[in-house]
Amino acid sequence: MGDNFSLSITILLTGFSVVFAVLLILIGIIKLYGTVIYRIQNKKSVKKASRNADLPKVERETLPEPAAVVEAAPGTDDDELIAVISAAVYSVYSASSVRIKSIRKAQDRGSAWRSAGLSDNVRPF
Amino acid sequence: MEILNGFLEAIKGLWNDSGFTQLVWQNYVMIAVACVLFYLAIKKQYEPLLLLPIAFGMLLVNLYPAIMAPPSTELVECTAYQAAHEGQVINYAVTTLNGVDYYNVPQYGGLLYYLYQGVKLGIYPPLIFLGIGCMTDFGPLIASPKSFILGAAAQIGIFITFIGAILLGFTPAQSGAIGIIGGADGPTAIYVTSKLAPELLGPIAVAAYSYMALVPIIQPPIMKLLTTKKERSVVMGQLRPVSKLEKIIFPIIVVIICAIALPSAAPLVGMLMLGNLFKESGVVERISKTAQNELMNIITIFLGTTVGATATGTVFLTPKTLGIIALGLLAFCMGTACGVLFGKIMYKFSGGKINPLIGSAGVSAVPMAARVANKVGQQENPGNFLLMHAMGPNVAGVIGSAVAAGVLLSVLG
Repeated sequence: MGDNFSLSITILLTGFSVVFAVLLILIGIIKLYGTVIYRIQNKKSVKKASRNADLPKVERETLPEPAAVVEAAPGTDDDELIAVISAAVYSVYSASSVRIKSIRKAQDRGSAWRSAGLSDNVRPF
Repeated sequence: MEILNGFLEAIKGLWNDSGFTQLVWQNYVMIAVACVLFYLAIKKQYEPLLLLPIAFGMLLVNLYPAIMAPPSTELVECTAYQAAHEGQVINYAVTTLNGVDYYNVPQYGGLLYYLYQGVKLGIYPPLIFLGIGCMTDFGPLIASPKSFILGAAAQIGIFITFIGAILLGFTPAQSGAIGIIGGADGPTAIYVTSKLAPELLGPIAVAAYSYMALVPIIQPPIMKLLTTKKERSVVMGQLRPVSKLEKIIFPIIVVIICAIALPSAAPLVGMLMLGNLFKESGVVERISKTAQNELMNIITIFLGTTVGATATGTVFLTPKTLGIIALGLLAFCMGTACGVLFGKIMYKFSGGKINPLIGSAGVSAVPMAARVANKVGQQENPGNFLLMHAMGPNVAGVIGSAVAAGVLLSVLG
């Protein structure tokens, strides 16, 4: 009985410590490689983003940057409009590579959107 | 008159062979138990994939015990045999008793006896683990590796129950097999028992699978008893996204660490991680689909039916078996309690960011235990979704119970 009891305690201590030790080692390794992979992939994505950001730069530089003026059609919610346009810009060029200075209503340049909408609506099914 | 006598003799022979004369009261009790399990599987839908084949195996073996009979030899007088087979000489071994020669005519075993060899030789459990690996997403565990602590904590029940079994007079090997029920992992329990105490395979397998099926009944009272309303209401933050590369590296690292530290856990952990690598690599989709569908289903049918068939009335209905069933329940409850208690410790250390309920999922029983943690959490706060957080300790529990099995096999095997 005494032998069995000492065996029980041995098993309890061995089991407890080995299971925890193995799983703690796994925690350490997973955290380590998780961090390494996250950093590597983050670097890659930053590089990619900066490469993407280079592309529209030329176009932006050619455009004169006017002062912060927001002109919207009467009756529209300006904050909402700014939020929608900002979200659209950020989704195309990542947030870190672009800063919106102003939003201006574009000149009426003919009927591009109107004709697009018209052709979409009248397109045969 | 001769025809009538022949007819009556035939009927008498059939009657003597029938279950009415062959079966004992224990068989009828087990048939009733099988019917209760049918009810739980079909009506209540408690793990029907396991419970239904187990219950049917139990029913079959208690109606026709010879279905699990091992192969044997029958002594048939040589002259009588040759007379019955038109003088055919056969190469069976001959035994001479009192000057009379007898052929040792081989008798084949029952159908389930042969299917049972996969259980007895420890083949089915690792194959089941292969399928489980293909179906398991270790993402929540990789996103929150501290879940491993809860998976380890829930294994303490195994070792505490080991002490209880020793005190009740079981041998150390038998006690190890009984304790592993607390891992709440059917394949692991069968694997360990087949190596340590094959004579207890029937009761232990039935207990392990029954308790796994009864997780939604057993766990919630313990979880509620050990936690406060405030703790159960904790809403946990969103887990970080896990990249594909991390998921691919995970099974390789786990198998290397576990197999080096505990070689005896390698068959279980190895197959689990092989299945997971099939899934995460994305390059062997066909194999992955086969492992988690066709192969898994076939093995489940064989395993469930033959495990149920080990529960014959005369073997099962003994005080020893009832002791195993009681100890198994203790192991299961202790595992749940230890998981929740460690969850509470993590709740304190994290400044109330971890919901202790997820600790209960550390007992394995994937994904039922995680679902139970989610359900109990939603009883306090219907908008609280703990499922993905509980899946971390849940899958950690699978690895933890395999490691615990490795410890028991190394020390007691």
